[in-house]
Amino acid sequence: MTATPDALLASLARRLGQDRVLTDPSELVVYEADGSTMHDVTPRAVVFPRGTEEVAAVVQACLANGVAFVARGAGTGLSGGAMALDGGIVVALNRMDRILGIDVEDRRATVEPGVRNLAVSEAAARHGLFYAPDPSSQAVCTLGGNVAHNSGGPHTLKHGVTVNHVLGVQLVTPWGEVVRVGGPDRPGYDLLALLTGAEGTLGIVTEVEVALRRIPEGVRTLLASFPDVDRASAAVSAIIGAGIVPAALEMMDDVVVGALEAAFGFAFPSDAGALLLVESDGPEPGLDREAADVAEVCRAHGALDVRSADTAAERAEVWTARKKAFGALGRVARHYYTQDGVIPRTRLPDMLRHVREVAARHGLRVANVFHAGDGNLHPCILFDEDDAATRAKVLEAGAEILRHCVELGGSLTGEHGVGVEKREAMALLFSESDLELMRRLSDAWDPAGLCNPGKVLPMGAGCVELSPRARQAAL
Amino acid sequence: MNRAVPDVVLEPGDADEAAELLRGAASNGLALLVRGHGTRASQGALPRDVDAVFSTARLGAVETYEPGDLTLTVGCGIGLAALHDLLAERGQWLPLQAERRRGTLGGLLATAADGVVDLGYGRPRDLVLGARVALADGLVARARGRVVKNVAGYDVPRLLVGSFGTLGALLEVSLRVAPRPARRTAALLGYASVADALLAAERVREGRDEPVFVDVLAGACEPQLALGFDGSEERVAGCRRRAVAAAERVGCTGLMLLDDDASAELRRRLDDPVAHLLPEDEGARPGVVVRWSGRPSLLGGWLSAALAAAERAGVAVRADARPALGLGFLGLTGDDADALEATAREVLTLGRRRGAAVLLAAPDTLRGEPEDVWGPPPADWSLMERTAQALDPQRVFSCGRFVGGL
Ligand SMILES: Cc1cc2nc3c(=O)[nH]c(=O)nc-3n(C[C@H](O)[C@H](O)[C@H](O)COP(=O)(O)OP(=O)(O)OC[C@H]3O[C@@H](n4cnc5c(N)ncnc54)[C@H](O)[C@@H]3O)c2cc1C
Repeated sequence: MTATPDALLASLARRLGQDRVLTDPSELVVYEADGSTMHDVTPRAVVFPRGTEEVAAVVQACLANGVAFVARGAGTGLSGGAMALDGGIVVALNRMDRILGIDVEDRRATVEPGVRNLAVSEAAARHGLFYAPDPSSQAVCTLGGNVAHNSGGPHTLKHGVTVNHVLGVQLVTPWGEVVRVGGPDRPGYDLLALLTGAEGTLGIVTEVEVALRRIPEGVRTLLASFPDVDRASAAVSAIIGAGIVPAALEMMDDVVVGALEAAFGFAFPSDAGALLLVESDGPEPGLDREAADVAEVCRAHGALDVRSADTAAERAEVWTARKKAFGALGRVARHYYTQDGVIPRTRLPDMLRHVREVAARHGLRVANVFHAGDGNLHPCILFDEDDAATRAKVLEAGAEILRHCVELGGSLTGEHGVGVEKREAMALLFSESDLELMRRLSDAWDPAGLCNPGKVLPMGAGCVELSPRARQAAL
Repeated sequence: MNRAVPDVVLEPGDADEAAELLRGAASNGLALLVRGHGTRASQGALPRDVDAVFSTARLGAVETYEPGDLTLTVGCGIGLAALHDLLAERGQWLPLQAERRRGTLGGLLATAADGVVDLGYGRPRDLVLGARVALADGLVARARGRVVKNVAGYDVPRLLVGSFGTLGALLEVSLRVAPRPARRTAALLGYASVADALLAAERVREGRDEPVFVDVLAGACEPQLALGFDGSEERVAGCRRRAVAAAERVGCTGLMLLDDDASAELRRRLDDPVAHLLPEDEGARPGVVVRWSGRPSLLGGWLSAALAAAERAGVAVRADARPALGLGFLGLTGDDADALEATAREVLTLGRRRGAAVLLAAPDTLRGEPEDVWGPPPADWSLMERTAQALDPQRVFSCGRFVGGL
């Protein structure tokens, strides 16, 4: 360290302006955690750079002072990725939120990292284009966060996740250089793939170029209710097995359905143990037939009822229900903890049974609302008492669920990332050699170890001070 | 200039053997070249002298194939013919170069080979879920996994796709496979000029018929537009009818609708740009294939300038352009080696002004320097070098074939 941390804050205030450097503890509270509810840590400071040059200046100042830095978008991440560990500062990018250009002819948009996901599709809509990856948090989360987590969403089953849509980024490297990292089609290594999903540990993205697609000509949305999740899961496998690639294939169990009814009065078939939301999109020719095929498969697998949402208003209602599912859960329990695991989709019945067993054994309630077509589960553990014993139980139940995902040949995370939350769990999925390979990359890219440290790779217990807590479910 | 391929071949039968052989090679300071069946070995710049070949030929075992999950984990040495047959038995396919029977899966992935239906199904990077790789010091590691959605850890598999074997050897990969569509048809339309064919392609792109390929073919015969459609009977019939109608309005001179068999024949031709643009039946004339990539709106400009350059030089030329992907392939053939080389250089220079242009096939005289083949190092070159330094600090696998001499 060549200067004291206070000297760092003073120099940042000089460079960015005093109003762009937050140090008041009451203001830092907001930046203690992200959307995950289990941990928090107070950053040393929060800075709001206005552009690439200022981000680079911040990174250089941090390097010169040996202080860690972490990028932050909207803070909706669910794995603690945007938490500033090691006494670091938060580089808040949510004010860098300009759409720099929409190129209609070449179907791409160039945006600053703080642009909200939905804002891109909104800006592109009048050209008949949209940005395909659609996390449920899309009204809030930023493109920078999406790139960092390789975020997906309900419609990524057909349209792909973030990495399939990023054409280029501007990066401030962990050593403070500004580099334009070019599309997957320029000759050389696919560094965009490496950066997408690297959770901000390989640099700060200050500009993103993404591909836009034509808005599909037609959409068919079906809501099928089943007596139980097993039969709904079998229908999922059968739909995929029949060669149908729906745009979205989402499942909600009875707890979620009940919560949506209680919270918002959505009227679903009341005897349903599980609901499948299946959406097909694409050219009109053949689309009715595809929807009819889906409905037939659902009925053949014991669906109680298959409804179609025919008007735009009906479709919007169904999707609102899906996207408000977590919010509704917040009304039936004071707290919840969402897990994110992946399994081969044919193992869904086995996995969902396991989730119920784990919850029962710990005396906890659990709700499931997830991307069934991808085998991407989001078991949501509900609890009311915010005490240490309950928290320990909740975390243990979550860990057991993850272990089973790994046992079934799946993954620890499908879209929420490793962050700080699953860092140590990486050792469940990966051998020491596997982790060694990743460490070689991160050591080469972040030789100073100051770029979002303490994320992604396991450090062994006890290296980082975290204060676990549960927060009021707010979303 | 004439660099011989060594007789020493390291040919492991599994990952443990691969690790052992690589450790042995490392302790002897050997420089290695990764090879599958060698069908793509002539791509890239001429390799520097290497001491041994690291062959994946015996690494072709199927680890797990779960048709219900649409996933496959397989050794990279598996031949494409065996791979395609395996999937066909279960009514599935890997859309990457689905009609190609030569070469290995590892070779296809390491060179990020283009296939005709990439527009519809994605490029090699889009279908790779996980990998097991061997680094030069014998470290064998897996990254990502076997499931279709996964963000655990760095995306090393995609990093190795298209790396030309310069970072490490891909031993095994997990892939996303797909049900074979019920119908796979195509249409061919003729045009008076390349400009018309490109305009027709643009009309199709403005529609919403989701073709799986849109290729503008030029050179050998009158300019043509080739369109492909996959899916159910109804989908394919309706979309083809609409797309063809849009393309016809540009003033087409002829139309041929291809059924599944004829379409398969066309796809076989277009799946491998090098074989397509340098047809073997025209004798072993020296040839060059240039691949251009960039913004779709710039493709037409490059293509017409390149065709004009070839014509001026009296060099035979064929082209296959994929406007929706921002991709163009140009094949040049001729007996006058000097004219051929000069034209190739001109076409590359034109392409590199606004976009990237690389050589997919060329005589040795054009492949001497990495910069000739790949163009100048890109803006993020320093990050590539850093990545190579991380995974292969001794540059064991960097035989000079790749960008910047990696
Ligand atoms: C209700 C709810 C629903 C959700 N639904 C989904 C879903 O359907 N699919 C899904 O994938 N996720 C979902 N998420 C998770 C979350 O919204 C995504 O991970 C999102 O991409 C995070 O974006 P953010 O801007 O909030 O990032 P933040 O939380 O601010 O940061 C996330 C990570 O990105 C890094 N980062 C942020 N900006 C940059 C940058 N410019 N450069 C480098 N690194 C950066 C941070 O350091 C951190 O590691 C949901 C979250 C909530 C709360």
